[in-house]
Parts: sequence; C-alpha cells; structure tokens
Amino acid sequence: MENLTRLIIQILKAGRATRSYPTTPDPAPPGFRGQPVIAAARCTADGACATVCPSGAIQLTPAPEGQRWAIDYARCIFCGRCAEVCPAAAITITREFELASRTRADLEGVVYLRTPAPAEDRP
Amino acid sequence: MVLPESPRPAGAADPQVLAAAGVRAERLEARLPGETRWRVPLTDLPAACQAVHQHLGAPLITVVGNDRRAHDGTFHLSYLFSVDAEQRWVAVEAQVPGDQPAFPAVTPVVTAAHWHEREIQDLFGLEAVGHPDPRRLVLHEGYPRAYHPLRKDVPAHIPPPVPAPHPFVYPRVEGEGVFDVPVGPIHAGVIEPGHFVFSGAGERILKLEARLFFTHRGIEKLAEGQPVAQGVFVAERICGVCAFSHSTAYVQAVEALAGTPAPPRAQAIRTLLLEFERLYNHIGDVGNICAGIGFAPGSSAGARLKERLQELNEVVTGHRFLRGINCVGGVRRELTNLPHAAAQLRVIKTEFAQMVDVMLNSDSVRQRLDGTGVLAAAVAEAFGAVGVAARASGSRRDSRIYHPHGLYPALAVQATTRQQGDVRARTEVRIQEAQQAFRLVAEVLDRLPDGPLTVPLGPLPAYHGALGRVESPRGETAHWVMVAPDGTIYRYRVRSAPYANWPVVPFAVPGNMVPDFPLINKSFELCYACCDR
Repeated sequence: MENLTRLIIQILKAGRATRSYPTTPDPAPPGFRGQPVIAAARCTADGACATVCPSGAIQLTPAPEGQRWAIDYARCIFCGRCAEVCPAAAITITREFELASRTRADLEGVVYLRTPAPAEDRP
Repeated sequence: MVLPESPRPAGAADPQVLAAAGVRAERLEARLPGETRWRVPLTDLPAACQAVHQHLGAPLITVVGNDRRAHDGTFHLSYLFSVDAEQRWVAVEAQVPGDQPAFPAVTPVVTAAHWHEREIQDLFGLEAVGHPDPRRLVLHEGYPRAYHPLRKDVPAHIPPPVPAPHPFVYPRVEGEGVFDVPVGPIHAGVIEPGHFVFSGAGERILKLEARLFFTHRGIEKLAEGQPVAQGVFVAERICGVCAFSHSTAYVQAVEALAGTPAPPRAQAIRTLLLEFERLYNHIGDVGNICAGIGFAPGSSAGARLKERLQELNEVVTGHRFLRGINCVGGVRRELTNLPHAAAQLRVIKTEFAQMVDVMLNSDSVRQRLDGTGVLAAAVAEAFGAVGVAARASGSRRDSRIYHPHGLYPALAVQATTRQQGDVRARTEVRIQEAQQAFRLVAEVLDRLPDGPLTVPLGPLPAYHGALGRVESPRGETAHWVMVAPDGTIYRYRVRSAPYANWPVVPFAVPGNMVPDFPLINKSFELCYACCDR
C-alpha cells in the first residue's frame, strides 16, 4: 500500500486525541500525589512533617492558644513524606491538583491547633 | 557487548600502566565493588590520567573537585575512568594545596576532561594550567572573579551575586560575506535556554558556538548538608525527563557506599521504571525529530503516544515523571495497575511501529534526515560522548551492559549501534532502543520477584566517594556522593549524559544549512537542565 495511503488511514484511525478539559473533568488516578491536607483534630503538633519536608514548605510555630500549622503549596513538591512520617496520620495526600491561584497568599494552608500546655507548666 | 575473559584479578594491570608512565602512585582504600583508587603527586596527574585512559582504554566518567581544606589544607581532585571490559572504574586522585590553587590541566592529554576542568576553575577557583580553552563555562563572565561557590567557606544560603552585563567571548569567523546568527537563550517555544551563534556565509553553517549553563541552579551546593535520605528529592529534580535515572544513580551510589543494595523487588521495579522513562523519552524524541522537519503526522503521533506513556507512568507510579518512587534502600511504594499497563504498552508498541513505518518510508523525511548532522566517531570518542549520540557513531557502550545494575544482568540487553552518525542514525538508534524497551518491560513484568521494597541502609563511611551509574535515555549518568560523619551529604557531583554530549554538538553542525540546526539539535535531544544543574 502506498505510503501516503497508509498515512491517511493512520490519521483517520487516530481520530481526535484532545480532551475537552476542563469542560470535562479529568481526575487524577488513584495513587497520584496531590495536595496534602491536614485534619487538625488529629494533629498532635509532633513536628515530624515540618522536619522531614525537603523544601521546608511546612512550618509549625507558636500561636496565642497553641500552635499554628502552615503549609506553603508553592514550596510543596508533593513528595508525600509529611503523610508518611506523621505519627497521628493527620495528613492525607489527596488527588487534588487544581491549585492555581490568583494570589500568593491563597497558596498557604493554615490551621490553628489548641495544644495542651507543656507538662512542666501545669501546677 | 561480549566481555572478554580476564584471567587477572581486577586492577592488576593498573600498577604496571602507571609505573610505565613514570608515575609514583599510592593505592588508596577501596570500599565499593569495582572501585580502584590511586593517589598521585599533583605534577604526575596528567601523565597518570593519560596512562589509565590510553593504556587501559578507559573512557573518562567524571572529574570531582572537593574542598577538603578543613581536613588537610588541600582541595582534592578525582578523575574517574571506566574499565568497561572489567566492569570497574579507576579513580586517579591528587591534592591541590589550599594556598596554591592551581593544577596541571589533564585536558591536553584527555580531551574529555575539558569541561570538567573549566567547571573546577569556575566553582572552586583552581586554575587548570595549560587548559586550551580556559574561558568561563558554568559561571558566565558577569560573575565576580573571586566568587567560587563550591568552596566550603562560601555560605550556601546567601543568594549569589547577580551577574553584571557582559559579552559572550567566542572565536569569531572572519571573511567576506560571513555573518553571525545569534539564537537564544530565549527561544521561540517552551524549551530550555541555551545560546547558539552560527557563523555562516549564505545558507551553509561554517561554525557553531554554543553557550549553556543558563539553568545552573547550584544543585550540587544545595545538596550539601542535606540528610542522605533527602538527597533523593534533589536528585530527581535536576531534570524533568531524566528524573528517574538521576534518582536511581543517586540511591545506587548511597546504597553501594553503605554496602546494602536494594532488595530484588525494588531492583526490578527500578529496572522497569528506567525502561518506562526510556520509552516515553525515545518515542517523544522521534516525534520531535518529525517536528524538526515539519512532518506533522509524525510529530502529532509522537506527542499522542508520549502522552499515553506519561499517563501510564502516572497510573503505575502516581507521577507522570516518575518522581517520588526511589528512596535510599529501595522504593517507597508498590506499583499499581500493572496488567492494564502491559495491555496499554502492547497497543502503544503497535502504534509506534506504524508511525515509524510511515515516517521512514517518506521521501521528504529521508531527504532531511540522511547525511545531516554527521558526528564523526573519532570526535565522539575523544570527547567522551555517551548514549544514543555515541552509539549512532559506532560506539558499543551501554552502561546497562558494562555497569550492570537492577535486573539488567538477567535481561539480554543489546547495545544498539549505527555507523553513519547522522540524524537518521540517531533516530534509528532511538527507534530500536524503544523496541528493545518494550521487550525488556514485558520480561521484567513477567519475572517481578516477591519480597520487601526496602532494606535498612547500612552505616555510611564518612569522606569516601561513592559512584552510581545508570543508563538514562540519553546515555550514562554518573552520580558521585561523599557523606559527612553526621550522615549528611558532604559533596555531590552529577555528570549527566547531556554534560558529556553537549560539547560534541557543535562538531556535527558545520557544513549543514541553517534550517538543519534545529533538526540536528533535536537528534541529540539533550537536556540543558541536566547539564547545567
């Protein structure tokens, strides 16, 4: 068969590969490492996540009534180490990847944790 | 490649070779399998390297500069050479006094050392005396002369000085009607930055000067001080499309240093994913060749298939670029959807074959590819080119064969070679390697061993360089790691395949016409990010 004919058949068979995203949603497959999300109620302010984060995206700092846990999604490299090391399984790696934002501030995720006072301060 | 029988123990020839060159060499402690180390007086350095390179027939792997002044007042230089036939390497080491920062250049006798020594000049401030091309390489001319960031007394976390505006110094071509066409570093497309100056008279290119290192990010400095386990995340971000090769070379170096190789299942998974990486790169690159000549059906088909392969990466590992899977000691997670992957790969293999069939049977494609961008075998060999570019010019070197890793020893990997050295040859090497990759993937899937995914890492001896080598889609990538007593990275040297191959691209261009340059460039398909770090 002539080369051009084979080519035309190939083109017709290939059809249209482009998907109409975002009109049609295109969810990431299971196992995809997307946005890490914290369940504040489970967090014990252990700090392992902040220590192990390769890009320093997670900060755990004192706050008026306990601690402030903050993640900078612009620094996050979506490696999943935070969830791996959390002793309280408080961090979930979701499949969310649509994280584009109009402002830098929007890329920060913050939760406030009420932690009990340290033992040596209690009467 | 058939490995000749070697009746003598590994390294037996080395002392005679060095003594014959009149070099006083002291054997240093070797800890890694396949490693031999010789310390020579600084003045004997070029002679020792020449002896190993020529008389052992050992190509240069990499050169590592290291600031050890805090320990012994000197900078250490290590020149590593690969003795392929014996599956080992030889390191020739010398020390440069901290107060006399100069060393005799090895480049005049081992051409492949040229960029390594210029890099040491820029990043350590050690003068390579006698280097035929001592221009700035990694740090462009606008950086302050006294700024040598890989010295330990330059703090890592202070931003580097902003380079002042400066001209690019390059050898000019003079003559009636000769003009220069400067291209880049900003290009008309979403591609990496590099600067190319063509000198031509009419359509024919007389000379090409290339300037890279616009994406030099200081990755090696960034890695210093990181816990060894974190180093993986640095390694796999050196480049996008070689991410898995880089992370594998890194973890292999660390595991070799610890004496604890990854368990069989992890080795098999790494082998599988190295071939996944090869597949999406090679098939995408063949599509890019078509883009370079305006053969739209080929470039569309290539892009379609590459996208399907990257989606496969995501479905099997969770990441389109295969990041986040390797860890020191093994792999972090199990693979998923393998039966689906196997079925998809069979379909993609057929469609790729159809795409290639139409492409190579097209007269217009043949006219552009045949005889274009010839890289002479002698040039490839002298400059230490690796991978597809070298094999298309006659080399039989494939590190899956001479530096067995993963499951490769159990798979019959063939080195794919061509002799013509033109764009067509490099395209054919990719096509054939992709076909072999489909077969290797099927074989690995057939025999994935059971067992744990990781082993605990053994103790890491301090201040001992470890080498990891992997065949990335573009060729051998070599990672050298030295660890401090506290388990953090002390020195990290990455010599990617593009670093070895970029220097030979300008040799393949003269004599061709200007529109052939993008095609020739695409036929090498080298990463700038891998090279620049």
